[in-house]
Amino acid sequence: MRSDFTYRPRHRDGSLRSAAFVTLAIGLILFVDIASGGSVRGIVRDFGSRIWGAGHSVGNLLFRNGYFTSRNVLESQINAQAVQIAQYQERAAAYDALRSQYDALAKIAHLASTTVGVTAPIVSSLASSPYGTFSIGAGSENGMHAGDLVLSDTGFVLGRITDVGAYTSLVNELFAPNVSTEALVKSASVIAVGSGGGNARMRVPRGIVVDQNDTVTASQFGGRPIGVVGHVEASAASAYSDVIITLPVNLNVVRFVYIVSGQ
Amino acid sequence: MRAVRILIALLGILAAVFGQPWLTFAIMLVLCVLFRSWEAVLLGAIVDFMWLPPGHFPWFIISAVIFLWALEPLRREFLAR
Repeated sequence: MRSDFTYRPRHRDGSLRSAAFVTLAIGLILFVDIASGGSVRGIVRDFGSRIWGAGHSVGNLLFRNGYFTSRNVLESQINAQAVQIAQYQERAAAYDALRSQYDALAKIAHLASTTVGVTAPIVSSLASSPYGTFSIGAGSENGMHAGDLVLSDTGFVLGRITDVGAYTSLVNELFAPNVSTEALVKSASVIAVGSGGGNARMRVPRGIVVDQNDTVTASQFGGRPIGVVGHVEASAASAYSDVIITLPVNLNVVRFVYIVSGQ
Repeated sequence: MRAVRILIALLGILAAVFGQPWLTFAIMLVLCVLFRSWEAVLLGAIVDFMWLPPGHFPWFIISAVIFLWALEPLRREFLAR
C-alpha cells in the first residue's frame, strides 16, 4: 500500500492560505497587544461590553415582558388586546429595570459615605470568562488604576482591577480558580485558594475552631471581608480542617460595584 | 456546509460574550474537526482579548491554533474541507 494513500481526492483551495493568514495575523495582533500594554484588548473589551449590554437589555425586555410564560397566559394576552397589553408591559419592564437599578445604587450608597470611591456598572457576563475576570464600565477616564479594589454593595472584596482601558476595566476575581490570597479567620492567617464561582478553599489548623458563617478578612485589603465560612470538614485523622469560603453575594445579580483605591 | 460553518462560528461569538467558556472551547473544537476553520482562531482571539488578564498565557488562541493545524491530517483524510 502506498504511504500517501488517501480516501479523498486532493483539492487545491484557498482555505489553507486563509487559515495560515489568519493564524499569522492573530499572532501579530497578539504581539502588538502585548508590546503596547493591552491596547487591542481594551478595544475588544469595549466592543464586547457593548454587545453584552445590548444582549442583556434585549433579554431583560423579553423575559420581564412575560414573553416566555406559559402558552395559556400568552393566548389570553393575545385575546385581550395583545398590542395594548404589550405596550403596558414594555412600560412596566422599563419601570422594573429602573427600579432595580435604583435599588442597587441605593444599597451601594452607604459605602460612599464611609469610603471614598467610584460606583461602576458591571458590563460583561460574570460566567463567560475562562480566567475568572469580568469587565466594569469605568476606566482611566474615570480615575481607575490597576490594583484598585472592587467591592460589592455589602463591602465584600470581589477582586482587583488588573487592566484599565479608557472606559472599561478588567477585574480579576479574588476567588478566580487557583488564585491565592492570604486570609484571616479567627485570628489565624491562612492561604485561601480560589476555586471559581465565588468560592475558595483553605486549610485551617484543627486547633482553631472555625464555625459556619464566620467572616474571613484579608489584611492586604485593609482588613476588609472577602467571604464567610460556608462549610467546615474536620477529620480526626488530619491536623487540618478543610474550610470552604463562599462569597455571600450572588454574583449573577450584582449590577454595580464600588471601586476604592488599592492599598 | 458553508451555512453550517457560518452558523457555528456565530454561535461561538455569542458564546464568547454570553456563554460559558467550555461552550466556546467546544465550538472551536467542532469547527476545527469539521472544517479548516480560521474562524476558530478568531474565536480564540476574541475570548483572550476580552477576558485575559495581563501576564497570563493566552490559552484559547494557542488551543485554537493547535486544533486548526494538528487536526489537518484527520480532516484531509476523512472529513469535509
